Amino acid sequence: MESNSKVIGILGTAKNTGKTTTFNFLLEWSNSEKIKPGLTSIGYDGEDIDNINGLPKPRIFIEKGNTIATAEQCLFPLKDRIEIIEKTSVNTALGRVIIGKAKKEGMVILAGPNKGIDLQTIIQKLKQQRVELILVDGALNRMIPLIHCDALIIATGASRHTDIGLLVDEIESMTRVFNLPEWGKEDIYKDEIREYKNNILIFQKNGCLKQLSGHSLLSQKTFSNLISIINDPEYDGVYIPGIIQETILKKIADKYYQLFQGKTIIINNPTFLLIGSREINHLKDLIGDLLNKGINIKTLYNLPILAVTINPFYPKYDRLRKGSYEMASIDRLQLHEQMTGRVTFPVINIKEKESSKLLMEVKKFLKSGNR
Amino acid sequence: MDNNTIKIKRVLLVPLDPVHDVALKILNRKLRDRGHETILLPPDIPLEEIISRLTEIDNLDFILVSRTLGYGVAELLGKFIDLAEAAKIRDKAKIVLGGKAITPQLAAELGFDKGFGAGTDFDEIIAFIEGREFLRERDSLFRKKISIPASHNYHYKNNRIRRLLNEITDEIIQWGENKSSPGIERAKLRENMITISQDDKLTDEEKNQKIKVLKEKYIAYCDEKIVRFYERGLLPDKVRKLSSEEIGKLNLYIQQQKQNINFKQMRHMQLLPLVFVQYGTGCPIMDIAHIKTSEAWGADGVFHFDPSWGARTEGLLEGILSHEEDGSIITWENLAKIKSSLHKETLWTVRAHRGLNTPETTVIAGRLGADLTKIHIVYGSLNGGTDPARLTIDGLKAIQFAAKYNMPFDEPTNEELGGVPAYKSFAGLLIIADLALKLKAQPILKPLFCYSPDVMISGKMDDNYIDYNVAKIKSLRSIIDAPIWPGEPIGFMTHSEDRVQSTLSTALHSALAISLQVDAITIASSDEAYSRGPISLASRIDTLRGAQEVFRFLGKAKIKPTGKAKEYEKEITEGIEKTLEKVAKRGSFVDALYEGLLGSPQDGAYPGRAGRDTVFEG
Amino acid sequence: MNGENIFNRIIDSLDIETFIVCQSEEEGRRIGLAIMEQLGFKDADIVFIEFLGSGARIRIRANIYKPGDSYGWFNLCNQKRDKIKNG
Repeated sequence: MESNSKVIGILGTAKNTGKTTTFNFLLEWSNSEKIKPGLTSIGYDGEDIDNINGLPKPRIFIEKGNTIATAEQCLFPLKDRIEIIEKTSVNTALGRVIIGKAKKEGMVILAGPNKGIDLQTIIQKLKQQRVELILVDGALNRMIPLIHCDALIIATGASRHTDIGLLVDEIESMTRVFNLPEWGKEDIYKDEIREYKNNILIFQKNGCLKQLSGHSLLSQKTFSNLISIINDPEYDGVYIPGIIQETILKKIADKYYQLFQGKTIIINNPTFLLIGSREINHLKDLIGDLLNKGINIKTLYNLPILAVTINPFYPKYDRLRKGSYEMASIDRLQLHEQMTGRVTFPVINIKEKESSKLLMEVKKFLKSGNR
Repeated sequence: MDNNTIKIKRVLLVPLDPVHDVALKILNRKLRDRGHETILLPPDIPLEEIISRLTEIDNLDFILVSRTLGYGVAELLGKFIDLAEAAKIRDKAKIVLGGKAITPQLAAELGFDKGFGAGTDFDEIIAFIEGREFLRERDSLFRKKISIPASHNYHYKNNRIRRLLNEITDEIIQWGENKSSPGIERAKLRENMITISQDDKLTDEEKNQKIKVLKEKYIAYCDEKIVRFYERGLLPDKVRKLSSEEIGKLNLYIQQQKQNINFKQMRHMQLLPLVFVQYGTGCPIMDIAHIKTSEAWGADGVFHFDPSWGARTEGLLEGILSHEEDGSIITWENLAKIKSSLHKETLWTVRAHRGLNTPETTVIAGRLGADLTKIHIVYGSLNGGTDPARLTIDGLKAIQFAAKYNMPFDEPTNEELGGVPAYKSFAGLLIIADLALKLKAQPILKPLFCYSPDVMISGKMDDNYIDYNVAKIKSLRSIIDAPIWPGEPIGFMTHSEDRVQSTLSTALHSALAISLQVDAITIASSDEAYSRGPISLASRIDTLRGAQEVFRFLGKAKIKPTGKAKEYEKEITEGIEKTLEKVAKRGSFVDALYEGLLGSPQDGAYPGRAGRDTVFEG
Repeated sequence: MNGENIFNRIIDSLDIETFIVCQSEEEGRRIGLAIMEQLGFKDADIVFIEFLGSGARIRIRANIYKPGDSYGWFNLCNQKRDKIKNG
């Protein structure tokens, strides 16, 4: 039997932006509220020392009864403390993912599924354990697997950029992308296009669907192909099931906007646009430009952002001690102020009092209906 | 590796690095050699373009990405993985990351399916791609226990020497009939005690009772130092028992250390020589640290080195004991603990060779499943401090135990270090080897690669260290087809306290060893010549690395001696024959030892006194 | 590595290899030992010294743990496990 538990993923913009701190905060809260958590990570979390810069990392402390999904090799030293419930067929660089339950409290290392389809499997397995809230820790700047969550928290901070302006631009752009309207029920072809996973689709006013070779909009070749086909006023919109590259979107805005005026570009989900962008910062202006020119952009799938957490600390490369890093910080008040001014989601520094705001958002989300 | 059974894979190799793509180029060649279809992208293409190209290639099985870590690289790799997933590339292909600082943990963090870091063998990656278990193969290639004598038939090639040896060893066996010693009696009692303690049919109480009876008899054959331990629990100076807490920790430590399955490959193109290091720091914990580290850095075997007083004391202690000085104490428990820490393919040898506990040590080593032991009557009598008659009877019995427990044993000719000329020590070496063959044991000849007092005086190494060492090996090989294991360690007396000099000397002697294709060598640590303190683990690694490097350098190439080597070889063989003639003529091996026929006080050999007049009839 | 005595991680000894400007081997030896003392190592010894020309090539060893001691790394690697065990 599966529970209706909700899945919250934590998406970072870079390493050391505070994903695990946010993860731990929610974990501690759910344990204190007796909301049974299920825990996993798409990366490698809970080790005391960072794999890359050698700096201390937040560890993950679980309570008795907590359910986790982590790789075999991470479980080995914990085998006295964790009861193995299932060895799944999901593989990682550290062996198969195991579903386990803590017989005692203690530290754990989480290294779970590394791709979306595997995360989906693991979420189902955790749900079978009747957990009430599933927390998925992100990894670095990786976001694609996290679209299988029900909601996201974005973690950013000085580790991404030490320039506050750039940080805020980026989050504002991400906000913009996550706020794109969903291709709703009232829209036609909703169910049909969900079936098309492998090809770019052009849908025409007469109800016909045309397939294009290619599933992502990455190369000039695919784009030229698309342009040649939609050079026909009878089409309504384009659906791109894969990655859409920011540079191509920019070409549309700059050179080909007349072809797209009054039409809709549907992307699969926000992350497929974010990943196709070299500079996410520019996306807010680009989307604004497209809208101004009468071009709609919608997403087929979307998921809510509960909050943006900010971390003013970052590992600073120490030139005197070659190859080592030390902790440094940017102005935390300015970061908070500028971010709040431009981002529509709650902006929270987990280490400050305002962290309770995150809990309010999470509670609200848990009470809301299922998607 | 059988090419017919391999399923052809399609592999794309992506050098994400701006410059470093050599590793992928090598891998590309190796994969193609094995029939796989590969595409090697040029280095430094933008991520988006790589992904775009990838979407156009069908049926990829693997994508191998190489990248050196640096600032912001983790995020770059994370983005690559995200792009690959969004572009549906991950559905079909496994994505593997390789690079200097890559670990499995990092690969997991970055979302790759597998990670290969520094020191990875190309074959390991190929095995992964072909879906084979690599470890098994690696074990079979270069971490596989090899029976050292297996490739030798022990046939004599020099009949005159064979006849002389036959005469001498017949006499030894005859002499030994109906003789015994406290050492032999203890060995028999120890063997019985071990058998009882391992008898599942007996209750603990029954075991204790039976052992108690035997123990009383055992104590009667011990020195005061040992009796004090059994009767009053008093340990010798500078010896202490590990606490139960320490033992608990040690068990955990062993368990943790055994999780390491990464080993450096010692040899490059050849299976021999096996490389041995000795441990014997005094403390079993430190010993295990040395053993596990030596294994990791490619040592094939380790051998146990006990304190020098162990050879002069009648009787062995019991328990897990630590010793503040050089040499780790031989007890059943110490050796069992050390044995439990070994990798299954590591050769383990326990030296019994030279003292009053030789037979008992052989029994313990045998019952614990040691691969090899070390016994040499002549060296032990002339330079090891043990009475010749006593060690002859004890050695005879120990060789029988070695045969019983199927342990080949090596015979170190360390009397050469005292000043005995090589030919005389070789005569002794061959006598014991022939004796062993009669007793159905498997002897291993251990000549020294050393700068001995004898060659210093005679000037045989004035020009180079090669000719005379080559002559020794060739001479032995001209007499019998037996395994040869120069030691102990190679380069003895060429080492100084200078780390570079010492490592290099070991390395060059290793080069000579591989060039001669001897069966095994023992190497020193680079601080072996430093006598005022224990050797350090880092120095232990120095010489393992040094040997490895010359093996790589030399491959199957050979070192060419000068014409002198032939002359020396002839001289040695003739010297051996003359010495054997004298011993045979003397008609008593034991007397020959006392009288210096196999090494005299003028040579620097002195018959030992420990255990004098302890041989009895019965 | 917060608060941990970092020398616990050294398995046995710490060697320093350098070149000391001095007038004699004896002086080099004294300076070598003084360096170790200033660095705070009580049990130090000269493993190797060679004086030539302008000074001495030297290898100085500080013994952190000798066989039979209670090794910091030995306690530590198990402590880490204990910590995990006890949470």
